[in-house]
Amino acid sequence: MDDIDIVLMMMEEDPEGVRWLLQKYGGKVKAGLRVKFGYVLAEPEIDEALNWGAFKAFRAAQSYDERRSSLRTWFYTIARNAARDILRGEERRTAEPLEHNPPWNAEQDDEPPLDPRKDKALSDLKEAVEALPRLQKAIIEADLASGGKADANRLAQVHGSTVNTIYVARSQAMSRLREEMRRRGHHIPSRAARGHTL
Amino acid sequence: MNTGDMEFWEWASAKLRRVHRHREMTPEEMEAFLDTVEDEPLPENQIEEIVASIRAGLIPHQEPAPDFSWLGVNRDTEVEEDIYQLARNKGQDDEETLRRIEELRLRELEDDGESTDRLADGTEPTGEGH
Repeated sequence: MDDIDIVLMMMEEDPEGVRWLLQKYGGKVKAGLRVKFGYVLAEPEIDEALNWGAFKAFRAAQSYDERRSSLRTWFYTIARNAARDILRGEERRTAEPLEHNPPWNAEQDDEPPLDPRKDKALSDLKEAVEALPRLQKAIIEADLASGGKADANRLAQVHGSTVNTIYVARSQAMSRLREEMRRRGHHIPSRAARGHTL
Repeated sequence: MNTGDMEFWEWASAKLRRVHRHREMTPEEMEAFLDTVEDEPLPENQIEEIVASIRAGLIPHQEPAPDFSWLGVNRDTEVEEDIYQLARNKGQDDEETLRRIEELRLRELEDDGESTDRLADGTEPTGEGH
């Protein structure tokens, strides 16, 4: 089955299109989610991201543009966004029709990846994160993976803790990282110096 | 969290995301990434469940399995002990009770020694039907 036929089936609201989509790309998309989120999401949550991604792809088939990306990357992007939503604790269990999520995130980063070997501050920052106590490190990693702040309720459940403990541990982690960077002699530019307004 | 920590985290998280696994990828980079991961075809029942949910107009839902690992590895042993304690009859460890139980056990053994095949009315079986 060609990609365009799968898309057409979904555009015509035929659920069999999703079957083809999952048979053709579900395995790769799930494996990709596991690589990117396997250290912050449990296996059932990865399945949930895939399921939710399939549902959203079905609902958003009209927006697919084959000139911008392949069907595989489009589906992966939707599933990846679903994984981030799970981390952020966004409501996902409602049976109400979902609004379409733009598959390509508006916050797309055009800057090249950084190389820790050439950036001492980054290298020290990574080391400082690694050295955090277990819960603090888990929260920081979940925050980074979610693209914002990870859901404190979910983190409390996963780590057998309380929501308040999560808030406190997050705050402690950030203070600790900042202090460690200061101790290593790094000057952190203020928000104003980075071009932000308070 | 104070303003200084917040400003620091804005700077640090942007840096870490770019080097970490969560930097936004272009479609080309994503294509290359997906080429590197191993294809794990989905089980037919999982696909069937998703399709059935969509057909019913519902979001396919997977309930996360509860995680009890934080309870600790020796928890089962403790629970087992509790169960033994609960299942024990009142007075079972009492010396007098144990002596009475032993007496009854011996009496039953003596009765068995007299006749193992006596019928309920006290007569011996005739052997018919065997």
